[in-house]
Amino acid sequence: MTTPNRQVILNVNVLDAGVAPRAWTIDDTANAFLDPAHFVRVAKTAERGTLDGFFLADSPGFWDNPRVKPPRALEPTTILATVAAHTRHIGLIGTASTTFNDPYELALRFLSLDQASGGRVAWNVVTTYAPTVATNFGIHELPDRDTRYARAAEFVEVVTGLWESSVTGVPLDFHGEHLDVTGALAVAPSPQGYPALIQAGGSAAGRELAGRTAHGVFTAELTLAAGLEHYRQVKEAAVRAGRHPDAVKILPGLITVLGSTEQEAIERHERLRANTPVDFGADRLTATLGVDIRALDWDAPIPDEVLAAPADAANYQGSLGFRESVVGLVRERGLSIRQLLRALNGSGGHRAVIGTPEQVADSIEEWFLAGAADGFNLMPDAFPSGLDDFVDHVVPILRRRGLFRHEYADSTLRERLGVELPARIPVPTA
Amino acid sequence: MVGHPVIGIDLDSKVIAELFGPDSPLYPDALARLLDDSGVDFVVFGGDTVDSESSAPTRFDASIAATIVAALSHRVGLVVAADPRLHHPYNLARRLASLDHASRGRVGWLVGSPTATAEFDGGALPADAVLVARKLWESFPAESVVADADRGVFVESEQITFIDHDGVFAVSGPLNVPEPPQRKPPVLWRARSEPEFAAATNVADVVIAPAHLARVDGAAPVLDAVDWQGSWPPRDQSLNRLAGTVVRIREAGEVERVLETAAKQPRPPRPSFLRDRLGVPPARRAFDGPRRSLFPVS
Repeated sequence: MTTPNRQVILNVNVLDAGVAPRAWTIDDTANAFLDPAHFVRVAKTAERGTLDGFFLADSPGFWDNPRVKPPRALEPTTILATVAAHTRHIGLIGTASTTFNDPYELALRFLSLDQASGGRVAWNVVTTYAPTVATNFGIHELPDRDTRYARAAEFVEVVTGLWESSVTGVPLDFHGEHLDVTGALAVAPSPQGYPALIQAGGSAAGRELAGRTAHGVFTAELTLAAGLEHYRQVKEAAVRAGRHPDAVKILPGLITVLGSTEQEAIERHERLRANTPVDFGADRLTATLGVDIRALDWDAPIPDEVLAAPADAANYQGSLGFRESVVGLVRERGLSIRQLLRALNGSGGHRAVIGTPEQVADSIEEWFLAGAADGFNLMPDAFPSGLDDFVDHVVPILRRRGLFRHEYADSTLRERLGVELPARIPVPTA
Repeated sequence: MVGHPVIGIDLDSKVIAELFGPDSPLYPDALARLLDDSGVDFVVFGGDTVDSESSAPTRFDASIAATIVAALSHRVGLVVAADPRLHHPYNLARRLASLDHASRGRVGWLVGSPTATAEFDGGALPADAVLVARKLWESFPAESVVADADRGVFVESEQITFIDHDGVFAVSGPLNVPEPPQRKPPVLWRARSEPEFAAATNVADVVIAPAHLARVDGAAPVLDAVDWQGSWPPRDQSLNRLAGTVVRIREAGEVERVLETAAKQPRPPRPSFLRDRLGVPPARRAFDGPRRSLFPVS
């Protein structure tokens, strides 16, 4: 927070046509979720706005019912390789699960992409908690959270070790409780050595792992109080692990709905959720709270037992990160289920700013200067207009305030995020 | 069978690593243009990594290379070599379907059965992986994506169904990528022995094999597998039992010459889908039996 000329980090989280339920009904984006040209266009706009990175969420299976809006479908490295071919600067951040991938295969695929892109890649490390996804891999009982995170920690160590083997030539020799991997990667290192690590688990275990190993953390924060608290926790975890607190950047999600007046933005928001079923997001909220919300009174205050920590924490099948985020919001505002579903609008638990470019810039600046964020993972309500408007109207404000770059000054994502290059990798010449 | 012989090239994994590396003799955009202009029907990325004879290590991921070339090209077919022991068939089916969407129907999968021993092991694992992929590609029908703004329905999601596959792999499905443009991207298999040929011809859409292994009664069209010897093989070698030729390239320095030589031989316009270009008939249904919805309408 006291670093001179500290700049806001801004990624764009490309949720296909956009995060809003009816994003696909405007701007001719009904086919966007399957169209490489759509993703390339979004990336080029992001690059015009000198954003740090282009981010893709993912899961090896369905999260939600795609009846209302497009599912996350195209596999991330496919989209990122396509974007890499048509851009020069934008970072490329792809989500891949440690629960349902082979570490050797993941390491070689992400390093190949990193090489081909000139060193612009980061891997967003997640675990998978959806039981309907596990059966795609023949698993009928998801491992409990502790096991998932133990495997994730080993998985990250193996992947990093394999990437290191491409730099040093020394084969990895790893024997853990969950993974046993020996050998070296035959893929050459990239200009940044190998990909940076982002981590997106919002539970206590997730924050520990992030503090120890990640260069960036994507979080879900619905209130400033929670944002400040979790920021402090991850930075402290980094210090406990012997790292500088600056070595890990905290990046909450931020949904943006822009208008030239606040009223216009509100109208756009309403238009993009018009006729959406009143129970949109109910299944996801049920999984998140760990309670069947259809059995509750939707217009009464949400009972305390529902908000309290899930009874069987180890086998809880939702996202603890989103859960904390959602419960924090309910407690702060005393929301009913109906009000909560409206506020979430189908997202797992990300904050939305609905307003003018100044209002959005003010919110970004407030969190950045207060020490609740090092930047944001932006989720425009609908592409392309939502990102076009952000780049055309919000970025200039942030630049005028000295908070954001005017042009790219670095060629690799590690340099851009201000994280270390692996030993033996020379500093790239731009 | 196609009227004209099919022509493919097969780039060794180390060739791909050189082409995508910092000192490439032919950067990806130039490579893509040359591939399109050459008229070759397809390029295999890393065939040696699934070859039962050589089983080379992967020096650059095949699907990343194929995707970058797809982004920069319009015509050439793109065959990804992928060993299903390393790439789980769910993740691979997803990546291949994604690439088929991204390339508008130009992708194929070169599967194989590289083993540590000289003996062919029967190929049960790759055969099962191919079956899983084919079933998964049916599990999210293209017609279900209706994008009906008036009714507020994006996907008629009750049409998305499990595959409930239980073989070498246990995969419930469904795939979270809609049916690819080719419906069933073609599967190719390079066979090195008679038992492998027998297995391959029952599973793959196209078999790549040396001419002496090709059988008249083989179910799938066969492409002759040859090494680059400095000039294109004579055309009449591809007649009779063989549908065409795949030329293996072991040196990055050869790629430009191979493609420029190919470009000199005039070829008629080719169908846009790789499957049609290979002369493979429309695919049969892979998944029979009652379909169980993931999102039943209550």
